[in-house]
Amino acid sequence: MKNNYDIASRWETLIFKFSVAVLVLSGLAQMPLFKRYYISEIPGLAWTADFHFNHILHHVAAAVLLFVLFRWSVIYLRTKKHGIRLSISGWIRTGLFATIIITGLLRALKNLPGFYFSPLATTSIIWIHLTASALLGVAAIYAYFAAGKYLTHPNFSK
Amino acid sequence: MKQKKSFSGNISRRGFLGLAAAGLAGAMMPGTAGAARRGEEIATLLDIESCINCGQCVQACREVNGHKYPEPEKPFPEMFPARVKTEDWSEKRDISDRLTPYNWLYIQTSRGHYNGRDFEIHIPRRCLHCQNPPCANLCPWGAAVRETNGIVRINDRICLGGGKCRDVCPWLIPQRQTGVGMYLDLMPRFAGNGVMYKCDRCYDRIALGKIPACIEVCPMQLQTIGPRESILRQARELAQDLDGYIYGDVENGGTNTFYVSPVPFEVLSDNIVKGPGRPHLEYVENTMARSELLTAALITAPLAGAAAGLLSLKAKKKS
Repeated sequence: MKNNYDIASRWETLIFKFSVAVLVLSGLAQMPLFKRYYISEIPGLAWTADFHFNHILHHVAAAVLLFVLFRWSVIYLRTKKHGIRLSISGWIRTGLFATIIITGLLRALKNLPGFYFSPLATTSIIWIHLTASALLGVAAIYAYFAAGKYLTHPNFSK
Repeated sequence: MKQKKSFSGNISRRGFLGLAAAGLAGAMMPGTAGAARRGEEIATLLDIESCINCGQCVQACREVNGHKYPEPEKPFPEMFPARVKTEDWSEKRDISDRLTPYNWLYIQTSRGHYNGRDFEIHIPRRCLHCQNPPCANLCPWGAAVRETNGIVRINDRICLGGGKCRDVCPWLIPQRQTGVGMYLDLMPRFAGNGVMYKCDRCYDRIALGKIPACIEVCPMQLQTIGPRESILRQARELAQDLDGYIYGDVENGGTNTFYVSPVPFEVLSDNIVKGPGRPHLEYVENTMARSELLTAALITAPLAGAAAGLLSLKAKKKS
């Protein structure tokens, strides 16, 4: 794909964007807002108020995202020597993604029987996850309007 | 069930034994305080046939935990949208026949007929402290947490009162008080609605090596607290002795509260008043059962993605 220097194919980018959209929606649906604001009463959107369903949906979308991100990561690390680099915007967003993934995995582990974190650790993990997600949203919007790309290549620089 | 067993609230043989033991050792198994400090799971056993509905546990809970009760600011912020209802129990603090933010324990009575005999059994009801609690696992704000010693509690300093913990609790235990908590400092009209309250199994007393107030004051010594494995073993022995039944060992994947009764719990459940703040006694599937599968998917996905990346690079090299 021309914008990402052949690291991502078009369908992979679409899957990536779709999984992020589902993660944002199912993440917001973890909060009791969709019922409060009548969204779940819109025909076809009753599921937005189903906490257990959205819990599962969030995990499934996260698994899809992790598959795509790790595929790209391996390709990036192998092709980096050919001059492809993360841009500043790319570094910021990758760092935020990494934070979200690590805290998300810790949260998922916490839900297993036999895995316990202290109350302070539990609350911190969730707040870091929420903060990093909000910051990633801001960074993504900024990158969209500033036409910031994840990757740069000496041969493609202006 | 053996016909010789008493189904009444009269003092039973075990009750007399309990009374005799009262004041000597309380109802704490040896090693409980140390186990709690080490972060081992602590559970309680309730021999409900011994309950005489004296209400001392309810009163003790109120006295010991009164300083944790909400003192809401009024008038409450106007809610948006208007259909969001406030919940105010601050003028009804004396209510003791259901769970409220000011009453974390109440006694439920089941009267009926079973196996050719009438029964009347009193059941102290509160949070069961699930082993894998959906309230703590699904709280989007990190306010509901599970401690390593098995206590599940809600941090009233950060709870926003959205009530998700109540919605996902199989027994709908947590109760909301509007007009208190962090939501007042954020967007009180648009998000949150107070703080959720429930039994915290006297976590502060446990930390000091004491036992929960309800257990300490019970004149019938019907509750016992101790390391989960020991308590579960004791519950099974008692159930066998009674030819009775256990509730809480497998419900919702396992809890840290075991009720033992000579009457099946579905029969008890059919004969109690149920509704808001008045939980049922029916069997509950493990609502977090899919967690292991979902977490396995999260661990497998990046490995599969990395493998796919390597394979595609290899294929590209070949071509």
